[in-house]
Order: sequence, then structure tokens, then C-alpha cells
Amino acid sequence: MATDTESKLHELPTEIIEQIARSLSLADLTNFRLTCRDVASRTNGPTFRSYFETRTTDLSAASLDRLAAISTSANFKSSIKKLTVLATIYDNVNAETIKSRAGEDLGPEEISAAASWIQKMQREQEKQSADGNAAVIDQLAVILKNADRLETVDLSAAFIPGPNQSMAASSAPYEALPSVWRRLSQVLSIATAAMTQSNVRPTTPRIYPKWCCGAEARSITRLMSALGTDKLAAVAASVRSFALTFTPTIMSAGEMAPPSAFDDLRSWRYTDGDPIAMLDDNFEGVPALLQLMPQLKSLDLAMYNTLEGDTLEYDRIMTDIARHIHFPDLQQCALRGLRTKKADLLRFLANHASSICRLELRHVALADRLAETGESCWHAVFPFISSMPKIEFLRLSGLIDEEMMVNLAPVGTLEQLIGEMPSWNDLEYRRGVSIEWEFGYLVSEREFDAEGMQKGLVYDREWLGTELNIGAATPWTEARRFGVSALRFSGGYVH
Amino acid sequence: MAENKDKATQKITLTSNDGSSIEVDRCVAERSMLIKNLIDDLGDDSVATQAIPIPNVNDPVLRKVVEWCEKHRSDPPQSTEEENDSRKKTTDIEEWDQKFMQVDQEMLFEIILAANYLDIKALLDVGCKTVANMIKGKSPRRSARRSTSRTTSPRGLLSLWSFFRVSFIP
Repeated sequence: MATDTESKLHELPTEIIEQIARSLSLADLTNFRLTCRDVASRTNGPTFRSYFETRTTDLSAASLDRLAAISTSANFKSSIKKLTVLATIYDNVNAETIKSRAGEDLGPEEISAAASWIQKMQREQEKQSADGNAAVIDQLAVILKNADRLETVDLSAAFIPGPNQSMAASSAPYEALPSVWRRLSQVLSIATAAMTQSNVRPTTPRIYPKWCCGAEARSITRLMSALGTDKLAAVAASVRSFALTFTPTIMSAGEMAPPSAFDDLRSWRYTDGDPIAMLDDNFEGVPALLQLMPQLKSLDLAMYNTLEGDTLEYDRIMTDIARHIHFPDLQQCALRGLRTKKADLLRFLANHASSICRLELRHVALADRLAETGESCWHAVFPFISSMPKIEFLRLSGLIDEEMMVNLAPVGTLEQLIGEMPSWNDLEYRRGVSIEWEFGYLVSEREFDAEGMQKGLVYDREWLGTELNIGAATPWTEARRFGVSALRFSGGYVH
Repeated sequence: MAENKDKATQKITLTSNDGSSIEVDRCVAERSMLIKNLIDDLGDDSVATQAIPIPNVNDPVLRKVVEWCEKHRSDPPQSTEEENDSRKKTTDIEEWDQKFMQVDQEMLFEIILAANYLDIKALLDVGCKTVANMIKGKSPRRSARRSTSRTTSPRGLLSLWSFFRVSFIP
């Protein structure tokens, strides 16, 4: 006879048993499952296993240990499908501000909270700088090796706000960006080193189908030379889907050398915290890394822009890619935030015209001078895209031409426009991508499906390239600054 | 504004499955998504005149649940994004909730079932964490009594831990 005990526990719906089990460490969970077959089978279903599908680590010892335990569990290790390695950045800007304001308008409690925050932050940062050591890489490599069904390695960033900040803060303040990118670059080198180490058996190489990451362009170059092209190539060769957000070397204005007479501008244009892109002739790593991925089906390449600083030279990344790289099987491609010359973009598209079916160009800037006729350089690009044989989906958004946003407005009345772009029925969406003015609409974003592509890419030739940087267009400029990023900032919980 | 306040303190009557009624403020009752949706669907007037039957919950449990809702009446509404809810992942329980959950096992399970039925996520969460905290650090000890239940494992088992055994096995 079943006892009351069991009937009681078994009366709980499976989803509640699962919820209880999710709060347990792996050791406790194993014990829990050992008590009873019913419990064991009810914590083995697809829903429960999916809880292990995506795991996140911030590379702290505790989090790596938890992950190691799961990756050695015979029952659950195959459930891990996606691993997110989190670069955690602590809000020091805010803490410092609080410290300097001590005694002015803050009570003793707030000051002691700030003091303990600063201590905690410094401890964490010390730990992070020690993390670069081989032990972390080794442990992560073992985890990667054991979790044999892992498909996606994702690098992301979590910004941990200081006291008196809303825990819901979803983004890092602009001033913190230099430290965000530095930590991301550090994490990328740790994770990549671990990936190469996990790939030790040449006969059955560890396959990483999906890989998402972000880093300073120069750190990728360094990483390539530190790890060696051969080892990296062995890992990269299996990558089918690659998303990379890179950034020019970013410094905050305060870190830069004192302004020379020539730089007098800087003294009034920037405050100390403003991130500024540095011209750094050290970005060959980006195209070189891409070159190691012959099997790529999906590419998402993004450059993170600051509004300040000189990034003109960065169009050479696209030059290198167009000249040297051909992905035979590239089907989905998103280029975001990149600067490129018209000829290089056309060459890249021509290289892959026979395979690309989904294409997104967002905040791509053509670096050429305007033609003498004053016509936009995009005139040459659009007809080519229309002529690509396999294309089924195209999204153009926030394109830039000689520092001006490109107006993509089609010709016609609002009714005709809605006919062409059904999403325009949604007023909110329409406001987000267009401005109404006396001659019709200024439009920053358009989408085409297979049917739309067949009709052809029709736009108002006369007004293409009209300067959109007027009043209401400012949100688009902001979007260029922040929207390009593939980084997602989370509240920072690691499980 | 004033109208909102009136709505929040509007009295609503809940009837448990043994027929007894409890009168609560509307904002307290609306901690339960089930009741909130019901009021939204039926309109304000119908609940002003009629009691809402809660057929799956008995009187002592319903009173306990209402007690929790009273305490948490001004909590922010349930977040829809579970992923971002960092509290959800830890097993820390607020002190008041810990005391609240110091009840016998049967009541604890009943509260969990009621929270699940009434769709009060935060309470369900506290209940599950309480059970998880009881399980933590315990090993599956061999039970003296062999159960004949089909669900029992072949290793003789042992079934649940000491804490379950003590309170439930007759």
C-alpha cells in the first residue's frame, strides 16, 4: 500500500516537483531522484531537462564548480545545449561618485553601503584579474569536453549596478563601456583558449556549431597570435553560425594623453568619462578569424560605434574580407554598424550572391565620397541586391551615406505604402522608422520578403540620401550608437 | 486616482470548498492571477454582488493564503519575464515568509497546491523553495519500512527522506 507520504508528494503536479528540483544543487537533486522512481521519472522529462539546456557562468570558482558537476553527470550532461560565458562588470563609476559625495547629501547608511560595495567590487575585480590564469581555462576546457551535446557558445556581458541604482538597470552607462569591452575581450581569450584545449582528439573533433562573441578588434588579433592559427582553425572549422561584435579600441577621454595644442577641441568636447574610439591599426584579426570558418552558413558581423573618435580606417576590415574570404555556403548574413567602401560591399555580395537568401544591412556606412552628380552611392548597391538570385528576405535599416542617414522612402501615398509594407499599419512601428514631412515620408527602415523582392526595390530616387538628421531623426542617431551592439546586459544572475 | 483607490479597497467575498466565506480587499484578492482575470472578465459589478467560489481550496488553507496576500498586498505586480527575475533562482526566503511557512507538511503541500491553482507565482515560489530547503543536505536514507508501492525503486528504497517519513508514514 502506498503510504500517505508518497501519495501526498505525488499529488503535486509534475511542474511543481520540477520547480522544487530546480532549486536544488546537483548533489541534492541526485539524492532527491534516488528516493523514488516516480520522482526520478518526473524529473527526467523534456521540460525539466530543458532547464539544463542553457547554462550561464561568470567564470567564478563557484559557478564553474556547479557547471563541472552537471557536465560530469551521466544523466544531465547531454542536456546542455548552450553555454553563456558572462563577462561581469561592476559599476565603479557610481560607487566612486558616492564616495566623493560623502558628507554632502548622503546619510551614514548610504555611505557605508557604498563603502561595502566598493570593497566587494575591488575583491571581485582582483579575482577577475587572477582569472586569466590557466586553472580557469583548464576547468572550462574539461567542461566543454564533457558537455558533448553543446551547440552554442555565447559570450555576453552583465553589468552589475552599484547601490542606489535600480537592480532593473538593463544597460551599462555609456561611461562604463571601455571597461565592459576590456572585460569582454579578456573573457573571449579565456573561452577561446578553453575551446581550443577541449578539441584534443583529432579523430573526433569537438564541434561548435554556434558561436557568439564580442571583443575589441585588437584583442582578436592578439588572440590569434597567442593561440596559434592551427589550433584555432581546428575549432573554427566546425562553426556554422558565427556572430561577432567588435569594437575599435575604446578609451575613456580621461585615459587619453593630455591634449596637445592640436587637440584643444578635446578639452571642451569631452568629459573625462566619454568613450572615444582610438585609431588602432591592429584589426587584422577579425578577417583572419573569419577566414578560418569555411563552413559558415550564418554570419552576423557588427561593429560597435562610439559617436566620438576616428574610425575611418576601419573600412579596411571589409576590404580584407571582400578580397580574401569566400564562404561557399553562406545563407544568412547580417552586417551591422560597419564602414565599408562601395566597391568592397559589392564585391562581398557578388562573392556570395549565389548562396545568400537572407540579408540584413543595418547602420552600414558607405565610406565613399558622393558621386559628382550628387547621387547616393547606394544607388549602385540596391539594384545589385535586387538581382541576387536566391534572396528571400532583405532588411535595410539606418543606412549611412557620407555621414547622412539614407532616406529609403518608396514613392506613393500612405495607402500605397501600407499596401507595400503591411507593417506600416502599425502606427508605432511607422513612427519608429519614418518621419512625415511636406513631401511625404522620410523612411529609415524597410523590409522585403520574397514577394517584395520580386516586385523590386523601389525607392524615391530623388530623395534617396536626403539628410535625415533633423529633429525627429535623433533617435536613429542614438540607435546607431547603442543599437548596433549584440551585447545583452542582464541583471547578472549566474546559475 | 480616487477611483483606483476605491477599487483597490472594494470588498470581495471568496467562498472556500467547505462553504465558509472570507471578505478581502480587491487588491489583496488580485494577488491571484486567477481571480484578477476572473474579475477582469466578469466586470466590477458582478463581483460586488456575488461571492467568488474557490472550489479547490478549503477554509484553513484559503485563510492562510489570504494572510500571505494581505502581507504582500503592495508588492510590485508579478513580472512576466521569469528569466530576469533573479530572486527566483536563489533559495533565499524573506524572514516573514519563512515564519509563514513554518506549518506542518500537509499544510505546506496544500498551500503550494492552492498557490498553483490560484496562480500566485510568488507564493508558489516561496513554497517550492521551502520544500527545496528541507531536501537540501539530506541523503536518501534507507527506510525501515519497505513500501509496496509500484513507484518504489527496486533498491529497496527508501522512498523519501527522514523529514517526509516522520510526518507522513503512519
